[in-house]
Amino acid sequence: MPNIWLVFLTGLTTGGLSCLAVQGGLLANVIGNQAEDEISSDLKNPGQISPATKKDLLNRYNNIHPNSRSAASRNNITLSIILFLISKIIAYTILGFGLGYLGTMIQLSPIARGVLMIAITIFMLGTALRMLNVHPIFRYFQIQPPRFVRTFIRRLSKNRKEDFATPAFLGALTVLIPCGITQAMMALAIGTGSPLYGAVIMFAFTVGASPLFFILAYFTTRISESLNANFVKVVAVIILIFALYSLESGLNLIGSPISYAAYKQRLELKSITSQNTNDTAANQPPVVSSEDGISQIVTINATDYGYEPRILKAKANSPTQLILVTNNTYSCSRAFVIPSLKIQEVLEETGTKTINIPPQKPGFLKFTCSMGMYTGNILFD
Amino acid sequence: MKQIFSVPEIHCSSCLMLLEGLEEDHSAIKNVRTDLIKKEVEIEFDELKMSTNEIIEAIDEISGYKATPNAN
Repeated sequence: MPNIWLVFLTGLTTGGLSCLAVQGGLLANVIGNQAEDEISSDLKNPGQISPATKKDLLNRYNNIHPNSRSAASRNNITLSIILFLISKIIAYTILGFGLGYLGTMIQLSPIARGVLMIAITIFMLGTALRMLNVHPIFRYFQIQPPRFVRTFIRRLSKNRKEDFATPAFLGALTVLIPCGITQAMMALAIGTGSPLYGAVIMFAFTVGASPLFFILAYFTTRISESLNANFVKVVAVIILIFALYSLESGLNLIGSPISYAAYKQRLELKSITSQNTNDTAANQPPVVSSEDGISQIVTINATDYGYEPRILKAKANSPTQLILVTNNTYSCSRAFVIPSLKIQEVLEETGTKTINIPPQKPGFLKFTCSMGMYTGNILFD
Repeated sequence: MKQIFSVPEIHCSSCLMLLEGLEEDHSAIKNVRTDLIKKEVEIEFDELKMSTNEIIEAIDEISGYKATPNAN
């Protein structure tokens, strides 16, 4: 599962700005309607206002420093934005739950999960390259709601009724018009393959995005084009980082020898092997806890931070009992997978689980968590 | 008449939503079709009531984007 803090920070730094581009317009309409009502009540014939007059009124309204707005109007605007954001957070959390659930349906085997993670990587790479304007072909990498949905949302945002249901409803409807970085987060939520984690990812992201969104919406600030262009590049780089992360997970899940984890473990294995040739019993991995000649027992602790040890040794051509130990473990390391043997086990939060591994030829047997982020190897020799 | 405008700053569904709102704000605009991939907007309007330049102004007003008419 991706680091929730990283997701939250992404929301905090980029989500508010990026999403404001997509969703701020809607909220601005609601606030604008309030402003219009307030100002047009001073006019002799408020009735129908032409677009040009409306623009002028809005400009006049926006130029007024919020402190000089009436207290009632200030409260209304604050409440509108807060309702918009709360319903947006709720809607996206539910969406994350649904996406995570969708992920469980797709992710039948470690290989299928790996393929899904690689597909997510391609989507993210496409999104980032689209943002960087690398080639028009990447413009296809975005989710586009059908026109009737856009018309519905637009008309709703122009609703002139003075109620707070409109901003709340609009906030929830923003799930239908996700911005680029949100789409990347949605892809991550599918990749978790867990409704709970999916919901947590979308919750962390939308909560993170809220403060900046609130500030920008309250002051009805428009970001300048040059700032926006530079900002889009930053967002694209962040999406690229998430893409690399998904790629690493995908490669680990399909058991690819090419991945950062595989490279790191090859180095570690090399050092263990060279130590063993120099020394004998002292450097034997401590986790091979017993041997009775018929079956050997190997123990792995699944912790919140991965597997300990990450590299174990066992005898080749001999059946192995693998004991997995958890002790108040709440991370995805509880979803234990050995891709090549198609073994998948979900461990209790605290407890032990024994897995029988048939005799293995000399070589490495890779194990990983279901997200492909925590990995390790058993070296049979 | 129908005129296609190139709007390079179009980048998301919200842009399309804003631009499609033109037909509600201006009676002279009969139909607006947007294309996110080509970054274009096709506008059908009554040229007796509104000029191409006024359409460009209306696009700027609603979205802040600069539009240029494509050669037909």
